Amino acid sequence: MADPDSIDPRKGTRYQRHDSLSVTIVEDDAFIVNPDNQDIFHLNALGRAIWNVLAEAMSAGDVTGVITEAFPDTAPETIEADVLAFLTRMEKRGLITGTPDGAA
Amino acid sequence: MLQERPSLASANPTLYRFHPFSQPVSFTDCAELVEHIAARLAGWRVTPRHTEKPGEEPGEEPAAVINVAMRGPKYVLTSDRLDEEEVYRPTAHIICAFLVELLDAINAEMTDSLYLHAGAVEIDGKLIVYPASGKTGKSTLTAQMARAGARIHSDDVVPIHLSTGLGWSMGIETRIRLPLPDTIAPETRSWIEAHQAIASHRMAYIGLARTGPGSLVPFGETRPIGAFVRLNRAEDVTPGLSPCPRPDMIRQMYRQHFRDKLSSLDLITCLDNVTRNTPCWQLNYSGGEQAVELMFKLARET
Repeated sequence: MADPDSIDPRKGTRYQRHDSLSVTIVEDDAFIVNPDNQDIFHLNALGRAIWNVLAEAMSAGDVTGVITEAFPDTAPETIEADVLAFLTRMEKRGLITGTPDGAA
Repeated sequence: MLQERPSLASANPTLYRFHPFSQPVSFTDCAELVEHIAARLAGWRVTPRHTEKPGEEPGEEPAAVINVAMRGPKYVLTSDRLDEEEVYRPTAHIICAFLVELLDAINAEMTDSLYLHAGAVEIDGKLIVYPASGKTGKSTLTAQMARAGARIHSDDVVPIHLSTGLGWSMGIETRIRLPLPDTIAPETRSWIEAHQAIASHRMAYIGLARTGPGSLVPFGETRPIGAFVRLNRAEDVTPGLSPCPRPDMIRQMYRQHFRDKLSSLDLITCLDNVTRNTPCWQLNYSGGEQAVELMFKLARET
């Protein structure tokens, strides 16, 4: 597995989900509603696991480490790619916040 | 049924009610069109408004929310929802456009239901609901299901009561696109041609009985939903039914959600509720006859 810090697209950034969003759990998946624009986001099992991890602020590398342990049958490289894509997409859509490490 | 056709000797608009929709609609110099539209409906009551409140002064008439008027050989449609007038020539086309406006108005008025773009057929007292977007063949499939004896709730819009989870019928005849696909079986083609009620080069309404097998279910009649089915038509697919994960069905359904006033959270909550205790299936098929057979098989086993 790669050095966690080396895979963070914004090294030193910690990500955390917005708790104001509404989450509906459906079996292994989840649907997130952004009340600001009424957009609906569907999370599969992996996405839901990442979402759960982001209850606390974490770097991309830390998230990848946790998820790799939770999904031992999935190749770490696949998880790394999925985590980065997920974080990028969710931050772009305003569902998570990236904060420079050490920022107040 | 149309009651007491009024005289339309003048160019003044005549107000009608399409019960149970509460707002008036107006027709100017096109009384025959009202009869054509009424004939496409089951369980609706179409009445000229002056027969309801004969003592009411003309000035007290509420404004119509949908208006159709003849302009030469063409029909002109306006409504509260449309930004500009729409012009149609074939009668089938103005019927379709008018019913779209009527459904939209019903949607705004009857807010206790979720409206899905879907077909729904009744077999043994339960509905099979198949959400799908336009041009996916669900109307032709619906007609084929009628031919096979299923009762028809809708080929386009399926309302589901938010409180009970019951599906209810819009009571509108199935409208299929023309020309029919080459893949349709000759017997089905003959049946559809024999049941065309009003048609143009692009579309045809299918006239069905109002009772018995293969009939159109009247407006407002409710039935429990026995299954949700995602249609997967492909040339090389192995025909059959396979379980559809509930989250996938919910995604399919909110994409086919029909312009109502629900918030997204309420929509997801509602879809979660209506699918929680209802089997969700994917129907893989390459031709309508296969689909009909599999739908009846599903109904018998649900």
